[in-house]
Amino acid sequence: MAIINPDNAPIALRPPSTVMKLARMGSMHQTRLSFMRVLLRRLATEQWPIERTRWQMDKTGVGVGVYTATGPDRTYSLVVFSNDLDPSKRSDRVIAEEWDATFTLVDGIPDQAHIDRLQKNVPKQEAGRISDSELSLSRANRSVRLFNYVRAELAKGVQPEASELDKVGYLMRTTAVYGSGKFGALDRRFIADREEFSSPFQCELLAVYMIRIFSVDIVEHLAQSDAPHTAVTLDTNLRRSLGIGNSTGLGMAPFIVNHPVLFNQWMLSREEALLRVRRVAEVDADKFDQFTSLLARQRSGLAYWLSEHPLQKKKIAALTKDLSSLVRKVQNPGSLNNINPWNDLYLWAEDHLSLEGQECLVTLLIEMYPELVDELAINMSADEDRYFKINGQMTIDQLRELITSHYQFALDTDFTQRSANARYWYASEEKLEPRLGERFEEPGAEREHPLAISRDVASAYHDLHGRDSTDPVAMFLLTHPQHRHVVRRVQQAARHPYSEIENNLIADDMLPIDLLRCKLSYFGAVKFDPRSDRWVRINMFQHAPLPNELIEHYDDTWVYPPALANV
Amino acid sequence: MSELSLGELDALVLKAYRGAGFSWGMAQEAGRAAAWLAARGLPAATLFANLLQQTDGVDAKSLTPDIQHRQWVKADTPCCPVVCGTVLSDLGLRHFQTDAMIQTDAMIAIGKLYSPAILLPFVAGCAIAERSHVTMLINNQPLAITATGGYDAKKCHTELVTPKTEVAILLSARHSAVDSPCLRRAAISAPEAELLEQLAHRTYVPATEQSRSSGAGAGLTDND
Repeated sequence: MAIINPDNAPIALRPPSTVMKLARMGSMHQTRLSFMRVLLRRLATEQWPIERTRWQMDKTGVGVGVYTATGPDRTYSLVVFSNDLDPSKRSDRVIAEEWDATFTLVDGIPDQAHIDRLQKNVPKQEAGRISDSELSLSRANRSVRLFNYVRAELAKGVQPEASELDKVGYLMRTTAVYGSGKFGALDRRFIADREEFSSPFQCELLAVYMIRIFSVDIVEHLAQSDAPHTAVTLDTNLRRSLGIGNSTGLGMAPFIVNHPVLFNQWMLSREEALLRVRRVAEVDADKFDQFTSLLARQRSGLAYWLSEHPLQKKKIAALTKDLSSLVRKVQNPGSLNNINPWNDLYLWAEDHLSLEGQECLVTLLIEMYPELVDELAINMSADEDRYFKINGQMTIDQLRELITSHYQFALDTDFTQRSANARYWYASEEKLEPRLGERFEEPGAEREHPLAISRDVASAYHDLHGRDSTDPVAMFLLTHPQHRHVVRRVQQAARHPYSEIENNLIADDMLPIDLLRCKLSYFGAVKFDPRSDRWVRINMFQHAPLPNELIEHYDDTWVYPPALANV
Repeated sequence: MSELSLGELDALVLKAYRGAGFSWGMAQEAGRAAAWLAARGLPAATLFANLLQQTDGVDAKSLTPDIQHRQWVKADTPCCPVVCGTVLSDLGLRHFQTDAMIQTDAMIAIGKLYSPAILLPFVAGCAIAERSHVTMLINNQPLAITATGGYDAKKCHTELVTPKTEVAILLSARHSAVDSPCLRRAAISAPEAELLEQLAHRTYVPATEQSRSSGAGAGLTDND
């Protein structure tokens, strides 16, 4: 039975024209459907023990460590190669060649010969090769100031100040986590049918969760080496307050454009979750209390969210104000309808809150209803192969119709304007990484990658002009093969309404950090800290349960730090 | 010989095919076909290295079949199997089945192709989509493909990898199911890798002072 709101308008999914805008996507927060949350729920439910099974480190912290995570059917091992890095070589950029530590996730338990092989390759990262026994390849650098501070305090036998830890939030940050098929790793298609990897990026995030454990183990090891008689280990609460950082640049941005069917599943699941909560007919006092308490914890979290970037500072300020407005709104009894009150609150937010505030509310609403939304996590993978084949029997008229109904945003853009055509995406010769160039200032635009979706759709639409409307699309593609990649997308969009970003990805004012933020929110990242318009630092697994806590007393709301009394 | 993951082979062939002058959409088809072939134990890197070596610099139009003609490819100019494959895949095999053919085995006479095995993933895709049994005739040697896309990899192997081989496709023959292998890795020789990398290189943009200074993270310290 459909539940009807007081205005008698059925509560519907937010339309793609609302959701698929970069400004909104760049304001999204983690939800309980985020892949880190899904991973930890599984580890807790299935009681995965995670243990350090090998630790061969010298006094300078150089050596090998192995952590194993054992599920009901299989064991995975994170193999760590720890380094004593010359500070002059420390860089988070993809052009770095040496790191404080490098990692690979092994499918199973490695023996000595296996580790010896990895030792020759993993520390070299992109310049090495891994095999189909490995599932990920990654590296991390220390957050030097915090790492050295914690090391020195522990060596002295005292605990570091919590406030110092909070300023950074992690001891190490990863600068790349490669998965499926990269640098020789096993392709995802061969593990996609494993229950534990049914959601996206689970093996990569399992590796990151174990890297977080290593980041504390290594600082304790070095403190112990520095002062064997006085050193102490890190307090459990402080340990839990540390996540693992990450620095992400343009390399990640094209993913959500290059995987439209998969991206649709992510967006649709989140939208469906919101819809289910907006359709909840009645809400009792306990639920309102739960919301108020979550809101308080979210506000506490804001105190830890620091950024120097002017755009992000402004957004955090708006969010701070928004959360206060939300508190006032829910504290005022009678300000919400008795029927579908969350819908009422959501609609109020659309009119009164910034995009940061609106999307934060979406996160909080979804959070309260695991019984309604958690099952949606299984829809967040996709069989992309299934939608790859072009239907060449489709008529030109049908194709035109699809373009006008799904890509009006593209047809409305005037690409003869330099501002609309200002940039181009390309792969750099130096590191084979995605980059963004200035079309009218830099050479190389003829080597542009097919990410200018709106321009290319508009161009295909233009070339359809004058074709016989009953002609099959295949004949059009035979003479216009340059439109093949967008015709595939247009056909995919017909069944996947949340697959396309409804902005021009080559416009002069496009912000790549919006693409990064959106993708990272699906991973479950927090504390987005843009360092320019094209790279961002984040925190992962901050406040997450420690391995023993996953098994003993898992708290699924770990991502919201405990409420501070004075906020 | 070294080995690649299927994803790496897909990406390498995609870039090489694009670097050879084909469109991005066609290059996506080529990369995917390469991974399909490698997973079934066929020498995908060799097939694409041969194809692209022979077609590099050739006008794309002459590599495109004339599908209005009874024989798609003119005798003296072999055609690109990816281009032919996408036409078959886009329109479906039944599209080419005339009324007269329904009584007998319908045949699509394609003609000479470079690296004809590359046509196989496209034909197998059609067989699955149309739930039809199909036979590929390669130099008149039959290769049966079932409605589930299976085929006997041991058969026709030599002809499949021989360049410039005559190909035709028969519909509606009946076959029993065959298992094709499923491999995780693709073999590639050093010269093949070099050739494909060279072509792929044409899709990269060399760095300039400006691109370095506007790259993500440029000019900011990470050492904190």
